[in-house]
Amino acid sequence: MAEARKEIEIKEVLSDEIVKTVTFKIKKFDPEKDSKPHYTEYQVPVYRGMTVLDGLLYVKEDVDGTINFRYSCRMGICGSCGMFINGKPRMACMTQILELNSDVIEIAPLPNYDNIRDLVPDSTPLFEKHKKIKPYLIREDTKEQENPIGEYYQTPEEHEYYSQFSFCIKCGLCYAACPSVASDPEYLGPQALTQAYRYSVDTRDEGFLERVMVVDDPHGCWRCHYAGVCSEVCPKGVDPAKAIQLLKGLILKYRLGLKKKRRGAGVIPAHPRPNIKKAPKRTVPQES
Amino acid sequence: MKESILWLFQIVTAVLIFFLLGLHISAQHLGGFGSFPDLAEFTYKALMFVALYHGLFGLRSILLEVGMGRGAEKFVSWILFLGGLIFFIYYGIVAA
Repeated sequence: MAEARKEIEIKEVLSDEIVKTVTFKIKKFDPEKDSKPHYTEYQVPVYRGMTVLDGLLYVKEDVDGTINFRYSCRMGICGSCGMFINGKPRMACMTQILELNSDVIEIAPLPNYDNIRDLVPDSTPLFEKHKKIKPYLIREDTKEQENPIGEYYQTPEEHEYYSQFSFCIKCGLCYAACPSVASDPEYLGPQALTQAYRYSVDTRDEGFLERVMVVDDPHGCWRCHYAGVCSEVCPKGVDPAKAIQLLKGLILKYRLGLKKKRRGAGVIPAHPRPNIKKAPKRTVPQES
Repeated sequence: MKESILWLFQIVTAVLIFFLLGLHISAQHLGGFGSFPDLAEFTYKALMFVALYHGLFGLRSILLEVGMGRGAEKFVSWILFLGGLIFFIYYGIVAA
């Protein structure tokens, strides 16, 4: 009985049956032809489980091939399809049309970015600012990094310090939602600052001082007014607002001489790994 | 001075304003602390100092958010610092 019911539920979810038709109101802009952006409306038949990205692909394939938008993985991993959907920055591939509860879906490119074309934002400032905070492990002894002989030792507890903040997929939704970015284009923004914190508390890293030089600035972490929208729109639950407040605390501790200086994690041989069993033998013959 | 230290002063002065304002109102306007006649004057000057810092740093933050370039930012910071200093010296020391 339960199995039959589950089968019906699955069929309902995966059904291609058209539930309703919604209007996609898409902001279009061609810098070679248009002096300013304008909206164009398309009718999109919607089935259960259909995302906004599916709707856009329907428009692109069956109605208007000239429409431009950026996407790649279709499953909330690559961070390419960030758009301003019904007044909120969202990932098009993670937004169910029926969950929006609206017959009209307004789609525009992400705010706080220049617009390249139609729904494609220019993400250059996001990546430039990300680059500024040196988003990689910095070691005082670069010899091991260049010629590794093992792995940096880190306990699961130490990994927890930054684990949540490492889920960032650089979709830029936080940057689009941030009111401080809107008023101060030089502000590093929630994405970069979160990554500055993520690397600064990584026990394998020794580059805290280099990052402090970048983020302890009038346009660094002190520009955050803690509106918290970055955390609200983040599709991966990273909570940049929290990371920025923690970063502020970390810098203040350092400036007041309360932060303990620590050495980066030591190196352990990659093999043999303690407490990890050997992989089982192959069950399928290896292709030659 | 580093932005972090300036920001820390902003938070500290916010707390100080809260206490100094209470002391000042009690000493100056409600006739409290009769055995400390100089308290009213001290709280007046201290309150002026911390309120000036707090207010002018807030104004600087708003102005810097407009986006004016690093040179102009330094100029604005110095103007506000000197303006605050002159205000405090005149109203807090010379004319008090």
